Order: sequence, then structure tokens, then C-alpha cells
Amino acid sequence: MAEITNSSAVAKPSPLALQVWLVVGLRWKTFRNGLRSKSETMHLLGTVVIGLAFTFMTLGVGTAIGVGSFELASSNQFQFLIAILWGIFLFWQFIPVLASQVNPGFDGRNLLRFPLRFSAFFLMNVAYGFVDPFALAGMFWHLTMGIGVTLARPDLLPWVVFALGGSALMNLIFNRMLFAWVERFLAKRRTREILGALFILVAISFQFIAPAVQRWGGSIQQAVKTTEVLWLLLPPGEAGVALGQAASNDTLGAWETVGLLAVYVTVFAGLFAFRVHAQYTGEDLGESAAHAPVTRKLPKARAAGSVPATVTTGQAPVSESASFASRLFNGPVGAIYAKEVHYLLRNSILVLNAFTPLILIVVFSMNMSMSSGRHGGRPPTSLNFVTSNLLYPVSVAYIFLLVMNFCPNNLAYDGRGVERLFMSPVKFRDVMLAKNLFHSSVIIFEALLALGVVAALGHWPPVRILLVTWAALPFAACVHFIVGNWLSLQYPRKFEFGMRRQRPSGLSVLISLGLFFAMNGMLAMSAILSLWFGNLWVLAAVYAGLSLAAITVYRATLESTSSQALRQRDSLLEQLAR
Amino acid sequence: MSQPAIITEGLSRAFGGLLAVDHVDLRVDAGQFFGFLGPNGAGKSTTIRMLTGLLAPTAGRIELLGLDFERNSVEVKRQIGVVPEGLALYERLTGNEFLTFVGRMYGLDRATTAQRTSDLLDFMDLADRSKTLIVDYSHGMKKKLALAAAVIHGPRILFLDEPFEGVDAIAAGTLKNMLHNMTGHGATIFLTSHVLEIVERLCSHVAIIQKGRIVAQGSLDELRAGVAAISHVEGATTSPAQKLTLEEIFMAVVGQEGVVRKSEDELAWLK
Repeated sequence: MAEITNSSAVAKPSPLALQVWLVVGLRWKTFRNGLRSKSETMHLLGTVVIGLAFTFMTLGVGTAIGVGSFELASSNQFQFLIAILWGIFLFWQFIPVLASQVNPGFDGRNLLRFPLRFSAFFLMNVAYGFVDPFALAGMFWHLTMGIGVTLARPDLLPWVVFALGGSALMNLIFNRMLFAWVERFLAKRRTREILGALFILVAISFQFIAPAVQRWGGSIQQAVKTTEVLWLLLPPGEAGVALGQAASNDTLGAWETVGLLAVYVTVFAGLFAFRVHAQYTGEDLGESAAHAPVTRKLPKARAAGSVPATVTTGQAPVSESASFASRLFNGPVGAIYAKEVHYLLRNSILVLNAFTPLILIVVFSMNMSMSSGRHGGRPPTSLNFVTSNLLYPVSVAYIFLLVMNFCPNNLAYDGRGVERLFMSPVKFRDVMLAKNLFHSSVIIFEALLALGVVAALGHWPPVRILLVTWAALPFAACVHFIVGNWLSLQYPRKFEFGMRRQRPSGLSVLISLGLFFAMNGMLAMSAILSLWFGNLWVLAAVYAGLSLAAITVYRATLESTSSQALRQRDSLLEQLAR
Repeated sequence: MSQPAIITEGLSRAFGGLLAVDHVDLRVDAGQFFGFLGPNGAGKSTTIRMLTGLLAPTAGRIELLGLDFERNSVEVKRQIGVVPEGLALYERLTGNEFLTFVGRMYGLDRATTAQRTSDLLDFMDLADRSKTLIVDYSHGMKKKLALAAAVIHGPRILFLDEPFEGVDAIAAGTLKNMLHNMTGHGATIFLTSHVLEIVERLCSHVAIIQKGRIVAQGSLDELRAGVAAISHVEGATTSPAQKLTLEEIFMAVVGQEGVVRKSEDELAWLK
């Protein structure tokens, strides 16, 4: 038996820093090589623009926190710093989990085949937390708070470093720990889908905060006061408590609080290390495929070794699929439409995204009713107009926004199935038509449901408002389909089922947002003009005309999607069928 | 002479500066069981992707069943079936839903689709898993389903990329029977596989591609004779022509000597 005789040839352990550096280099090369494709470059461009907007928000909030901290420290009101730190904590920890547009998590399991030390593996997992934009924002806000407090009270500088530095570290470690454990539970498809649905429900429940505060504000305030001690002991506010204690010369108390913060950091780091260690030792969270049945029955056809007669006794009775109606109901369009229905119903994230607007209509209505209630039960004229007339159009616009969200990347969930579309005797015109019809029917279905909900809440819209809303829909839908079909073929992105942390091409997001605002701006402007002149019937006629024109243009552009798909075939398959 | 089912002329595909397929001329007659072989990276998958419409050639033409592929792609696709490398399944459909989807994509009416779906699921021993999502199938079950999808419309040409990989011996036997039966009814089968024994047992004709070029093409007997002639000229002591296995032919054509020399002379630090 052959064996390796040259013992000196066995690799020696490489230093920790070198291993970390090699992985950093790997990530950089992956990113750089990804830019070789045009779609990735455009994606980067879109991401840069969105990133700039996020940066401005971060800078603005950071400035406000800095100035606020300066004022609070100057007036010795350190207890309010605790509230700000809680805000930062909630933003840092929960927005990334709830938002769908965050960076994919660090999955270092591919690196485990190398002789990687646990310390290096753990450090990489921690360091990955710095890449997250929410973490960068959170750290920046800690920094501005520290600057504000130090400028007001320079004597507190050491405490600022210990307390706020510890708070930032606690947030970072807690975030990594949270994600590691959430991903542990998300590893199984079914759990992932259930948790995905729960996340959306939690996100929706935030909408109920305002009405709840309005209704039970006093009780909530009382409950917060009663549990004040508890809030002060929890990690997010510890830094504020420590600064307050240091400011009032309670050095021992400040040390104790910073010590408690250090204990929290250690505990979170331990829980995180526990999870990372499981990965390091080769934990397999993959979904194993179902086993084939043990007992095998031999069907007649198989036992005889023959082919199913219906398959081989001649060519398929292939229909010509020439007419529109035939394609629509019997041919590929119907097949793809049916597939889209199955895919929607089996993707809890999609279902909840699609039907969230209906829940939110109830929230809007509650908010409006409560606002009216503040005016002695008799709403003012303008508010009455809003609740009675605009609730339905606003609801439909919101439904439209969420459902159309899928359009600029409408092949996202096809994955490898997109090869099937290219192998089949089908033109892409029919594929896009099926997908557009599917999205249209979801909008129509939800718009009708919304009408039912609005009516049940006592806000049945006047006929002219109803007509205007429905007349504008085909126009808005067709324009979105024209742009969405083009974007879907030009900048496709693959999405996995039940996964929330996925994002379409940055450029698609940018163009879609631009389109949405342009479209709604135009529709809103024409509605305002029409209200100004007091004639909504004219507006309905104008929208109907626009809709007819848009349908004509849509039909013309639909044909061109077939040739566009063929031109983009390589990049579509590369992106979606990986 | 039989009618040709597949003809390619000067078929080429370049990826940037790399010519993956270089002026490939193929002719496969109707009813043939044709094996397409080559070492890794030789251009097999690229060729099969071009033949099935998944990749556009940069030069050359493809004619399937007498129809120019580029001009009549929809009509051609209606008459071919494909089991591609990645299987191209919609994994969030059940087996039954997927076959129904594929049948309707090929324009079969509902009744025919339902009948054939039922027949194929039964034949592939998947009937009791017909309502299970494909994502929960084992690899072998997915392969059988992909094969069922490839034949549901009764194709006249079947392209199979490594069809037996991951399929158990019993199922493989059944599938081989099915494929033989299809060629008996006039269908043409174009198969790629790295398992040379399977190709030797199933295929009547073979083409070998290396570095994007066809280096041998013909019936197994023709290839044996060709290799024996070369060996005779070079004075090598190979087996008599009639005893050459496909593996010996393959090694002779793609260069076995190079492989031996490499393993002996290089990577000395491994010893």
C-alpha cells in the first residue's frame, strides 16, 4: 500500500493572522471577480446609490444623537441616554432580521476542509459582523454619542471609552450570536418557512404600536415604570446607567455596571462560540433528501421491461398552440400560470408579502378612526374625506406596491427550472405573459378583497373613486410589466424558497423605485388636478385612455421579450441555474 | 442509408478567448443509440447544451430531424427530450405536478398529460411519492423524474447527460430497457457518460471529443478497427481489434501514454 513517506511534506499549521488574512483575500477576490460580469457591475452601481441614501440617514441620525447626547450630558440627564441606547440596540439587532435587504450571513463551513484553527474560525465569524451596514451605523451612533458626552463632560472620557465601547462590543457580539442561532433554526426548510412567516407577522405587528399606544398609552407607561429596575439591568441600557453613575461620582456603582456589561459580553460570546464550535466540528444542518421506499413493487410495465405504451406508440398529440386562447388555457401559458400558483402557495414569505396589505388596511382604518375620535367623534371635513374616499385607493396602491415588488425579478424562484423553459417548445413571450397574468390576477383578487375589507370597516368608496382606481390599475400594471419584464431578463437574481435575506439586483431596485415614484407622482398629480376642477369622471376617462394605450404598448413589447431572452440566455442560465 | 436525426456542421462555441467546441461535425442516424464521450473539459456538455437550445453556437449549424435548429427552434424542441446535467426541475412542485407542467409545456392536452403522468410515475416507481415535493426526493428519484419529463411527449430524439449517475442498479436496468425500447420504435438517443461500460453495452455508435474537436466517430467496430490499424502502424502490442474494449479505444484515442507518464514523473513530493 502506498503511503506518504516524506513526513516533512506535511503542512505545518499556519499562523492565525495569516489564516484570517487569506480568508479576507478570498472574499475580496470573490467580490472582484464577480464584477467581471456586467450584471454584477450594474448591481454594484445600484447598491452604491442605495448605500449613499443609507449613509446620509446614518450621518443625520448620528449628528442628532451627538447633539442630543451633548445636551443631555450638559444638563445631567443621563437617564435619557438609556432610551437612545435602547433605540440603537433595537435598530442594530432587529431591523437586519426583519428587513429583507441585508447581506447574506457568513457561512464558513466551506473553509472547514482546510486546517483552520477554531480561534481563526471564530474571529472570522465575529469580524463578519463589521461588514453589516446596520452594525456600521450602530457603531457610528455609539461614537457620536461618545463625542457628545465627552464634549459636555471631558472628565467622563475614560467611562465613555469603557461603557460605550463595551456597549458597541455587546451589540456586535449579540448580533452575531442572534444570527448564528436564528440560522441554526432556519436551517430546516419547514422551520425556515414558519419562522419567515413569524418574522413578517412581527414586522406587521409594529404597525399596531401606534393604535395600541393611543388606546392603552397610560397602562403601558405605568407598566414601564413598574419594571424600571429590570430595564436598567438589561444590557442595552447599561452604558447609559454607567455614565450616569460616573457623572454623579458613584465610581463603584459605575464599575459594577461596566462589570455587568462585561459579563453580558462574555455570556453572549460564549453562546456564540458554542454555536460556532458546533459548525467547526462539522455539524451538518443540511436538509437530507427523503429516502426511497424500502419495499419495491414492480409495476407490470417495468417487470416486462417495456416502455409505457402511451409514451412510445407515436408522437405526442401536440397542439399547435397558435391561438391566444389556446396558449392561455391549454398550452404553456396555462402551465406556467398553474406553476406560479403552486409556487406562491408554497412560499410562506411570498404569501405573507402578498397578503400583508390586507392586514395593514385594518391598521390604517384603526389609525384613522382613532384620529377621528380625537375630534369628539366627529371627524373634520378633510379627515372625513380621507377616511371615506381615499382609504380604498390608498389600500390598492399599497397592494400594488407589494405585489409589483416581484415583477422586476420574476424568474427569481424558477432557479434551475429556467433551463426547462429554454428546452421547451415555448417562446419567452408566453413565459412572461403567464407571469404577468399571474401577478395581475393576484392584484385583482386582493383589490376585490380590499374592497370587502374597506366596506366591512364602513368606508365603502363612492362609485367615481372606485372607477378612477380601477381605471388606473391596468395603466400602472402594464407600465410595471414592461419595465419588470425587461429587468427580469436583463438583471436576474436567484432567490431561495423561504429565505428572507435575499435581494434583487441593486439596479433593478433603483429603477423600480424610480418607476414607482414617477408613476404614483403622475397619478397623484392628475388626481389632485381633477379634484381641483371637481370632476373625477374626467379623470376616470383619462386613466382608461392611458390604460388602453399602455396595454397596446405592452403587447408590442411582450413580443420582444422572446428575442431578449435568447440574447440574455447565457447570463440568465448563469445567474439562475447555478 | 438511414435518415440523419442529428447533423452538425462546423459547430463551434467560444467563451472569451477559449474555444470550447471547435468545428464539430456530427452525424447521428435515426434510431441510433449514440454515445458521446470525452475527458473532463473536452466540450461534451457545451455540445449537448448547444444541441438542446441551452447555449447559442458562435459558429456552425445544427440540423435536427431535417430542421435547422436556429430557424425552427420551437418546432425542433417539440420533438426532442432532454435530461440536462442539472436536471432542470421545479423542486417546489410535486412529481405529479411537475410532469403535468412539462406535458402542458409541450402542448399535450389535459387528458393525455394525466394519462402519461400516471404511466410514467408508475413505471419509474415513483407513484407512491407522486404527491411529495421534488425537493424531498433523493438524487436517484430526481433523475428518474427528469427522465420521465424528457419522454412524456414521446420525443424522436432524446439527449441524456449522465443519465445513470446516482440511479440504483434496478432502476438503471429498467431505464436501459426503456431506452432500448424507444430506439426500437425509431427514436434516437444521444448519451454522454463517463461510465464507459454502460456506453459500450448500450450504444451502437460513438463519438469521442477532445479539446473541443471530434477525434473519433463511428460504430464500435469501426473504432476498434481504426485503433488497431494505428497500433499496427506504430508497432504497439495492443489487443487484437475484435477484443478491444471501449475503455482501451478511449485511452488509445485520448492518449493513455500521457496519463502514465504524468503519474510517474510528476508530483514527486507525494512519494
